[in-house]
Amino acid sequence: VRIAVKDLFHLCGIKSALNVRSFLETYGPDKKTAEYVKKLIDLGAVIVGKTKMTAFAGGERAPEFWIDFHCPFNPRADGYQTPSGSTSGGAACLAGYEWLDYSLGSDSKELDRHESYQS
Amino acid sequence: VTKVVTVAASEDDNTVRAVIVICILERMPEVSPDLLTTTLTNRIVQEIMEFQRRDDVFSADFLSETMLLQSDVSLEHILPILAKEVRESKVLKRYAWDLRSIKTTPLAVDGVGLPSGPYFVHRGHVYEAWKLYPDPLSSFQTTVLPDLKDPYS
Repeated sequence: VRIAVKDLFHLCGIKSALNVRSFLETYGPDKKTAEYVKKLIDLGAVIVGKTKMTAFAGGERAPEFWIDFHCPFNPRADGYQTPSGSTSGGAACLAGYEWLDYSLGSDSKELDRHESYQS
Repeated sequence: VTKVVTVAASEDDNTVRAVIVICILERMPEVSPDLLTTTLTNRIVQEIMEFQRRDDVFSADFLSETMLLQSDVSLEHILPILAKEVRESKVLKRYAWDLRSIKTTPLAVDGVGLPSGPYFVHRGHVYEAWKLYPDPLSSFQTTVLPDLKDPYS
């Protein structure tokens, strides 16, 4: 099962950007893998990559307030509708790519439910 | 493939490079350097056409600046000419392979090589490559390389 994980989950050996350039430059690769992700790996998940998110999982409006990295395109309609946030990349890739099975996001204040119906 | 070999590349180089590994298990004929270069070029071109036909992980992106040749025979003296010949062979027709250097690495201690094919090199280590998928929505921040010694990293 191919799973994408949001960039705020730690993967041992991989840097987290949290969509902030200076954060990416300041810290080295993460040293541990998040417990929840480990659980998925134990169950046979194949982690394919880390998906883009709003800066520090904040609530900036997309795409114009995505400053450090380009906001994902929303597979819906012409591609320029907001993918919402913070799990913007996680929702866009799951909606847009047939080869992806699951996408691991995070839900604070019902946010993820916005992204999934917006993509 | 579970083997991870170390190549003579910079440990500080943090970028991930796609490479083609060609493993030569049989002994190369003891002939003139010219003939040896031609033999090797044909062999490399043949292997790559075979990947193209049969290997769903391979893509032209693996034809990068560097190629890794795994062999116990010293080939140092012909490498620059070999790179030039392979570059001029236009192996995948429309795709220009800008091969700049060929690195060699001996076979592992047990005399077994990595199977020829597409790999990634990172910090001097060779990693197994998984199938590449395009990300036209720009939804990924980064991707991962599997480390077969530790399932969690």
